[in-house]
Amino acid sequence: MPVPELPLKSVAELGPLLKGRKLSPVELVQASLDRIEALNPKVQAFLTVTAAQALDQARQAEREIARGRYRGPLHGIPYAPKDLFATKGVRTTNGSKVTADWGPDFESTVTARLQRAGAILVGKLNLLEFAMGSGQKGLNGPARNPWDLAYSPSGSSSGSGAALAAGMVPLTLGTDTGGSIRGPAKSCGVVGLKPTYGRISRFGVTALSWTLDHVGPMARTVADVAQMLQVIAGADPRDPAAAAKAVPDYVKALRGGVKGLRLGIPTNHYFNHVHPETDAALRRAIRVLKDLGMVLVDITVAHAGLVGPTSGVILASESAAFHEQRLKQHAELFDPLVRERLEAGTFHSAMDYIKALRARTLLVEEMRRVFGLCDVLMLPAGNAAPQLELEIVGTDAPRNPPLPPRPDSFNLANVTGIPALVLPCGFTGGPPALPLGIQFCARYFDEATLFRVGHAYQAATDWHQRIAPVTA
Amino acid sequence: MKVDRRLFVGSLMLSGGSGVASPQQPAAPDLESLRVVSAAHGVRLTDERLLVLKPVLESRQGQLRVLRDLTVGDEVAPTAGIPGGDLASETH
Repeated sequence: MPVPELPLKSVAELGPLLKGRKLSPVELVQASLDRIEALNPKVQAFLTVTAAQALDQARQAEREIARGRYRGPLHGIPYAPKDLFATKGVRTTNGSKVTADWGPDFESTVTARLQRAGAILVGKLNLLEFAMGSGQKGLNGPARNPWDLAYSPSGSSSGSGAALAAGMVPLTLGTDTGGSIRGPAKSCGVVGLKPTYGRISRFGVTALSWTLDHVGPMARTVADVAQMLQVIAGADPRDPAAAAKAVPDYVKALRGGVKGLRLGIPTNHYFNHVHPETDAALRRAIRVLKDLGMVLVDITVAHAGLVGPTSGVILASESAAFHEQRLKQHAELFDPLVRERLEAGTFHSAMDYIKALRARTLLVEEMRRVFGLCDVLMLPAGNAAPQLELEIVGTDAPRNPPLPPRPDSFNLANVTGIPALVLPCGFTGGPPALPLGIQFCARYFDEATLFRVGHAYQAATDWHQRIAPVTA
Repeated sequence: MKVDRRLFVGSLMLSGGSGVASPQQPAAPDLESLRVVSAAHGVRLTDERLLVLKPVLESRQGQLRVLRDLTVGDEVAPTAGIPGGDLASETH
């Protein structure tokens, strides 16, 4: 059976076809399911496929659209969340043997909002256990990178990146505590947004570290990420951290252009030890943005060396607290590496934790200063250490050292809560040719400006249009 | 549990509770120190687990040292959540 290519299209392309009844939601969802069936044995992006339920919902969407009840641009679009989002009546494993049989009796706010918008859940996506760290085997083995199956899609939203790169669905959801959306987006050559802290409700999403965790949309284009954020953003009384702040028109913002916007380029810390291929790709991207009319501004980020230690202590302490009871009752069911990290977190003192929160205050103040000087801050997407640029997945993940320093270029946005967008900006020379990424950060709640920049960059380049070579 | 002073001070250094550690000499935890801290934190891990965790904790000492050596003014309060709404309008 040939592998259908329909799910490789963007939401921006599919939406008008569905609305105009030139394409049936049933046809689209079936194509998505066929592609998952054909490619998932190799890519292992999905842990659960909800074929029957998805086709039922597709038929309902078909009837609604035929009756003139078109709900909006996501109506009839197949999507899948990382298996960390509670989905009523659908197994939610958290990628862990500890919760492998959990069947929630409630729905996460974000998946409920997508359902109301008419998006169709086709399954749940692979991840690293409880969204923690990297290099683990996962519940049913790791997801693979569709650009080369010997390579990791990065984590922890590994399935969310891999499913997009393999063209199984046009939209996915991830979570990001220290780069877990942006790492897979970079490694898989797709787009991932870690929004402002409080922009998207986390109700019904299994926590890792309450003050670092973010939910975010992923897609193959910036425009589709903007469309998804439009639907899922906003206040939620069930998540006290969700901000009661108006949701702007992100799709309209895409057309804003970038002429005159100030692009901050760090002159310290973030470009130290960047791999030469990554560095060259980033420099090319800067030239493209300058040609589009952005004004380049040199930026020195104070306290940059505090980001890694601050993130490390907060993450270790909060995750150990979150999993306290599970560790006491089911320690042997955890992946050995995750268990090590959680148990090590119990050794941090309140002094360390409070010191980290005070360091965070300094970093938040620094972001206030930085975004007085520029509108968008450009950073590398991922760990600057060259040996981790391409991470090979082994059948046995290394056990020591158990927790390498988390990449500062991602953690800055988690520690301070600023929004950050990653998108593809090139490929390694190869073989294999693997995606390279660029990261843009902006002021709090200014995702619209990130979309302006990202959309303008994608309009001027074609990196996002390349198709991963995975075959059935 | 009977704990001598040397061990107690070493344990405090491990958990960040003492200012007496030299910045050049991060505390290298020994098994007994780990037992004390684990018990003090109410976790009480077995020696088998403590031996697994020892290299993990050693690898974190450098990061901890960065924070512990950081001097912050009395006016710097902790930020638990992110005060996003205020900053969005202030910086535009």
